[in-house]
Amino acid sequence: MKFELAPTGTATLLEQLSDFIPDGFINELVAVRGGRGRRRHWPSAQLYRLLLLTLLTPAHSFNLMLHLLPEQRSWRKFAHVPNRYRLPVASPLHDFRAALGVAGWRRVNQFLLAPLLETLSPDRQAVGLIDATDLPAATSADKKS
Amino acid sequence: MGSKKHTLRVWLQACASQVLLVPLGSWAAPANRGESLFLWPSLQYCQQRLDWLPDIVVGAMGYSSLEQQRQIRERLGRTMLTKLRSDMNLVPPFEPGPVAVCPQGQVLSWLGWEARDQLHWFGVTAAEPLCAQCWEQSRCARQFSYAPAAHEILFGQIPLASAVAKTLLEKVRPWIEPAQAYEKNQLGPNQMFRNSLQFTWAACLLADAAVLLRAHAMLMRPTHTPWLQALLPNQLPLELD
Repeated sequence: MKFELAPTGTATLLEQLSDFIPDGFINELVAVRGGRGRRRHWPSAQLYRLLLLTLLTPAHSFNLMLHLLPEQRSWRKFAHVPNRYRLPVASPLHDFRAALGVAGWRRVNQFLLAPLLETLSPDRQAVGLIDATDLPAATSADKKS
Repeated sequence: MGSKKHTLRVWLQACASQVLLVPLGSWAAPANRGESLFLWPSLQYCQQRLDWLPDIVVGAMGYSSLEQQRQIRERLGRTMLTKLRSDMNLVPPFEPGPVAVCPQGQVLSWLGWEARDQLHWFGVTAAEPLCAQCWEQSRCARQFSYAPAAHEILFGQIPLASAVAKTLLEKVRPWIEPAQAYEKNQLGPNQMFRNSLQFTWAACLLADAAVLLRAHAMLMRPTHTPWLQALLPNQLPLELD
């Protein structure tokens, strides 16, 4: 039977991708701090999964995603936060994003990329493609009044 | 000001059912930064962080310059392929196309790259060449060598006139558009309210992670089948006619 990925935004796709998220690596990369000061109660892998939900679901905003999270069981299952009455708010997500930084995001991607590069055959030349895509500014300055 | 996401992707040939491009590295930058700033750092990033480099990189005209092409060939031993810019002139043996021709006008084919001497070899491979009528026939070897330094974009390690380069530029390069469209329209970093470059970076790298996860799901899905699969009951069709 031919395997096909479910369309983006569906609960099936979340199930298909969930097993491949390197939770252990992410938890090690950004460990929860102990000791004095402001503490983060949510494991890094859960916060990473929540951030991924903003791309893999139609809620392309962190606040909207958090707002819809209690109603969406499949999203909570993907993010490993099953309790609908105990969910993170926006600030831990923001703190995690800041703690991870560009270098952290890249390290996670490198971790995901390494096994994929091993699938490349050494007998065939690997072809890379470089290009750019526009991301327009979030502004209404160019809109006609 | 808007931003741009510059991404170097690699084609994973292991996926036979469809063209699968996965991101090697991305850069989020203000839109007014020139494309030529991102090719060399992308290759350096691959070499230093991934300990791996693609053999051939295909890109838009803006990504490369003659000097950068030379650096990529000499220092990394890799090939950068890009179309010739309109402000660049052809050099012999090339004519508009670009097509390689001998001094008397016979079309030449690329025979290969001699790494030891750093020379390209072109020769006559046509079934019915003009050589039989050529006045230089007696002293012509029908093979010509050229150094890539004569024009790094036209020659490089794979000349633009070769069939390989034409296929890569005309058929392989457009594959990037569906990959970009998926990221931009379906994953939706375009629809996010990106009010800082830092946030744009996060959105871009998160989109890369989503694409990598999809690639994992496509290539590394569990193929385990239960040992007793053959013995499991199957529903038979019930013929009522």
